[in-house]
Amino acid sequence: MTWLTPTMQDLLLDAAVETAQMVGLSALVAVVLGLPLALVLHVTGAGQLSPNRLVNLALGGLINAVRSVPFIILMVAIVPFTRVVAGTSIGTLAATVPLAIAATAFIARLFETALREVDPGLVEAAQAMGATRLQIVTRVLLREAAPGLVAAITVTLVSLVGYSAMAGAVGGGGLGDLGIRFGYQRFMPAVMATVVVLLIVVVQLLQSLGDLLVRRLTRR
Amino acid sequence: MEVPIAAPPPLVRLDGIRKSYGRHAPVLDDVSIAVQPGEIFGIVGRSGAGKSTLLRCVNLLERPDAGRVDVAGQDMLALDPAALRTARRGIGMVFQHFNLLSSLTVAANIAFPLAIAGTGRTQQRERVRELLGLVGLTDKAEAYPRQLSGGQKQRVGIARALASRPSVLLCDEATSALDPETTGEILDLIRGLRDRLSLTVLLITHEMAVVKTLCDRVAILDRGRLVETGAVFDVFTRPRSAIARRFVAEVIGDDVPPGAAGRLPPPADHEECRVLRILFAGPNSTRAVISEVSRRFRLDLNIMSGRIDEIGGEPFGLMAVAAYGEPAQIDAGMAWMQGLGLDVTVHS
Repeated sequence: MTWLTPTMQDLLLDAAVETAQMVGLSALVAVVLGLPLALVLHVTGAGQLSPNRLVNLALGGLINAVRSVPFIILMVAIVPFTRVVAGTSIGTLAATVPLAIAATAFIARLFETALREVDPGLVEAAQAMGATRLQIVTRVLLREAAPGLVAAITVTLVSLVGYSAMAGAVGGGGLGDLGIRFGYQRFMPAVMATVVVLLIVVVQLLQSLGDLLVRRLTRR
Repeated sequence: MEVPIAAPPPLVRLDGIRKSYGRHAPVLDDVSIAVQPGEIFGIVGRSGAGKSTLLRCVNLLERPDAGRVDVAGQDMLALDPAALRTARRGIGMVFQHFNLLSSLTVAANIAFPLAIAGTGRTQQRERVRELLGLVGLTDKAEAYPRQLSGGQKQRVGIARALASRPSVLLCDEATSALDPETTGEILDLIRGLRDRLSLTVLLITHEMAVVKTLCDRVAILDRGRLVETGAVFDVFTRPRSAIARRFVAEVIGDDVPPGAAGRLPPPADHEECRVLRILFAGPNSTRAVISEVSRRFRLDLNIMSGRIDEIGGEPFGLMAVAAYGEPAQIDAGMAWMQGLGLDVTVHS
């Protein structure tokens, strides 16, 4: 373990913190923005609570468009926007902006799928009882979809860990970037291996935690 | 149940209901029914006949294209969204697949309509306790739907439908997902609740057995049209339409065993063998008609099948006999039995 000098230890720790920042912050933004988007997408669908073809198609199209752009291209394409939001176009915070946008589109689609899994009969039953649309959203859709929503968050977190490796392109740092720069470009396979093992452990932990939470929430 | 001469205004009245989706044949084509307070009214039909859509027109889960919907004297189609939600609280609904929230306990499911209506917690708890007792699930309050049998889930569904003290209960194939024994229990429960709470029940089903044991009146729906409406006893004993006869045959059973007619001995010279279907209903249903007709008209009667049943508490008998005798005597015997009010037809 001669390569694991105190300097390298610091680098690893910094990279881990950067990854945690990028993934955590962009996931938070994705959940906060993605849930309302998914709800609008769901309730405006044909035969749903507030069918609206125009809104549904426009929103669905926008989400698909963002999801079709390869992340590395999205990152550079929105640099002007990033500069407005983050005040800079390089660094960890700057990398978080495109990550958040990509993750929002991604999670909105996953959330929508989870909402669609809710038995329409439950919505019908609530309507028959005289529930308002807001009550149906909060007391039926969100509650019954909770396990699916948590599973969607887990998948998004895991994907974000992977996406964040590309953040090095804009100087975002993080574990993936460390692996590329030291492990690959400076030919230090031990660093690469350490990074990969760390990432595997992180992903496993996230997935297990998510699964545990889903089990807790599932009463079916 | 006989509808009294001076009938009270119907609690549920659908008038000239029409509904179609796109350019397809109409799902409902000018359907009118009137449900009297306190009665159990059944709508029966094959799948796709439109009965589910018709039931949903009562609480406007489906909006008819044309027609009028009155519930408890309210013109439902004239209500604004807020008033409609309030009106819906007076109409309970039970579903084939129960439609319970899997994330809530039994008690919370039953309290759901109260919670959305803004009823206080203490009152909710009190009412849930009453309802659990009413449907016999007091020990399951904290269970989740997943842990219940189908029959128990439907009891929860019924308790939930009754939480807001509705005057009308709509049942959408409430027993179709249940086994026969559980079906019987649920039907008993619904009848008992009607008697105790003076509920009015409108149900749809494809099972004539449900109509026979539970309903007072029945309407038969076929491809979006109402083909027959009447007291259950009348429809069962004297079905007028072909589809009603088929539905009735499902429950009453075919009166002549298939192939039995072919094995009958041939009639003697100048005689005839005619298979008669005799329906006993009303005051003469207990009279010894068979031996009397045999004596009076010198007929030999070979009983092929016979059964006594009860519909809505009224007894009726159904018998198939092979009558041997001179054709004129058979005619006279049939006429005599018809004169007693029995329904006698020649089995083809």
